[in-house]
Amino acid sequence: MAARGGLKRGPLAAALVTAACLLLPKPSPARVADYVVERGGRSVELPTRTIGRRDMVDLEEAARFFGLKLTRDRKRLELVGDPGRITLTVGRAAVLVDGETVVLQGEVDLDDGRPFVPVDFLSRAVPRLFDETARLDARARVVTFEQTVRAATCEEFDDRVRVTIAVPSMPRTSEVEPKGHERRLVLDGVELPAQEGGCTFGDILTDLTVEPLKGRTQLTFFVGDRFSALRVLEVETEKKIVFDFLSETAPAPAPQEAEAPSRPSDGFDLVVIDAGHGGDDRGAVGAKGLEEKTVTLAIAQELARKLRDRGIEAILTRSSDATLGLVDRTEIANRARADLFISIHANASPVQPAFGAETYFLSLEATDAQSRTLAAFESDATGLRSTGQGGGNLELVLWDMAQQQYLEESSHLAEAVQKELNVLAGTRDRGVKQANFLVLRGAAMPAVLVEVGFLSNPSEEKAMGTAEFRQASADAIARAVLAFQARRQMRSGAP
Amino acid sequence: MRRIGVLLLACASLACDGGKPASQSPLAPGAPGETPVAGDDMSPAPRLAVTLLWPTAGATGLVPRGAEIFATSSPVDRAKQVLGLLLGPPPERGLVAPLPEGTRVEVVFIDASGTATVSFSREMVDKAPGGSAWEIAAVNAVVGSLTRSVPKIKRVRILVSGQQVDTLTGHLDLRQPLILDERSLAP
Repeated sequence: MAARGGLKRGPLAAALVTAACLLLPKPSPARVADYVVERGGRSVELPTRTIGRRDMVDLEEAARFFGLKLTRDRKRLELVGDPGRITLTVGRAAVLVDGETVVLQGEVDLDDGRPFVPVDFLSRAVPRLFDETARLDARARVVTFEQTVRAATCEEFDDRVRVTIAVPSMPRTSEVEPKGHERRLVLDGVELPAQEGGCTFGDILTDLTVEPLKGRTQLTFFVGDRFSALRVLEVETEKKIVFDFLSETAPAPAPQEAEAPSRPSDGFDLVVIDAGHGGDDRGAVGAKGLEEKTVTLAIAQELARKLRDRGIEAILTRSSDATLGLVDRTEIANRARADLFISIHANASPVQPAFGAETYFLSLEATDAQSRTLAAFESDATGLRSTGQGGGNLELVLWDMAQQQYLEESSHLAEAVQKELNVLAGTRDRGVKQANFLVLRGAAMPAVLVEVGFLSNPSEEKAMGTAEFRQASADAIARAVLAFQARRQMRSGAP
Repeated sequence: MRRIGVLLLACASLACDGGKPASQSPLAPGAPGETPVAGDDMSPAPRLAVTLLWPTAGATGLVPRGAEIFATSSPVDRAKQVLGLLLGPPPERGLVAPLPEGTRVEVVFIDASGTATVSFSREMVDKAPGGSAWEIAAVNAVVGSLTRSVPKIKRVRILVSGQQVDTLTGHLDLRQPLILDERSLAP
């Protein structure tokens, strides 16, 4: 205000002020309390000077902390690293961050030959380079970096674009009447960070915006020519909402029916193999100490090799002695959009005589109508909900029961596996069985659980410890997969 | 009243497994909080025929076997008696105990809709042999024996140490109350 008042007094006063400024010596830098930078669990104290009442931090030290290389060519300074490049000029306030100009509160300066930058360089220029945000607390003299929170992340598939929105708590989702290429939804009860774009867009989804309003968030999606339907899944357990923008080739959700993620392709090229148990969960243990988790992993790995040899891609739910939840195992298969899910196990009984292999597919017989209704309500409160576009009504869907629509194919696969296992010497046909196995329930593809033998039976435990048995079991299951593949291709008319 | 309790406990042991010691039936009538109804002090308490499901030694499935419990008026008490018998020795050679040794029934209650909730002690999981065959047998022995023996019980929710569990040893889905899966019965 004083300067403005001075200027009002006339040109003479202004000239005097300017002259005084030019004649006065440049204020010498004073050492002050250092600024602390915190980023990614690390922190550093940056040597700080006050130059002209402005806090300036040591650029060389800052560059070292951020993993950037500092080069100097006379007045030109460059910070270069994997994320990009920042260009500074001594005596100027403007810096270039990957080609974009950021104007700092003061000029870059030198103190005893070392470059110093205004402290807002840390909170305004550097975060842009890393696509992060940073808070500057001048009183506490701390700059804290944080990962940029993007409300929406996108995945692109051949037949759909999946937009996933992370939410702090589950909102009430409602859809506004579609308008042209615009699909608008309102999430009541959450305010998400604003976002424009942020995805690789194509001709299914062309753009999106996330707009926080008071107590709610408005999502606007702009759909392209290939868009045919929108499916919304609320995953309360993971605090996220998944928006699937389906293309015309993807199977549209059937209104009023429980609907699960499904693989649209008639092709058959990917099998997810689940090695039962693992990590903290040893599974059954034989009298000689052979653990189920070891047997299942060995057979699963062998099976994967054999399938790959035959041109079928195989993914293992675990490739080491890792602890993995049952639902997570199925989720891996669903995300990979596998054609088959095969869970490998070894059986046990309280007494020794039981022996032989069994193959299971899902049974829902153990839950009565009331239990299923209860599950639906519980799911509504704690699990998965789905909203479909049909009619604009929220539509209850249990992904948990995804396997239901594949039961017939699962039974064919189980028969094929059991038939091959029966051929193995020394095994007894215990037949195809059905049970309400949790690991099979959510599989959105034909799925079976194979019990290769009884670890509680001493002779079978001994066999399961051998490479021969493991290879033979893997071979048998691989033959069954090929038989199933041939059957499906014959039915679909594929070559 | 104390005399009646002692008498009933003695009768319970006879009824449970043909005269074997009462210790094989950890939850006999007369346990704290449960007072079975007896008719005459001097006459034996009325009994009730029940059906228990036992796994075969060859793990081919469950087979039904008749047994008797005291005809107490409380369905919860009857359920405890049934579970007590299941926790005892199998009634004949060729059948095996469905539940791990040392397992105890901690809580039983039945809601108005007919859902029985049974909480077993940690041994149910910690001492389990594991494997699909065992798990199917154990769960369905409990569910089938209760639903076939106590008319009020329509379905059973199994808990371990009072907590809901996804499975016992990684197989059967226990997140919902279950009815007997008829496929678990021996052919």
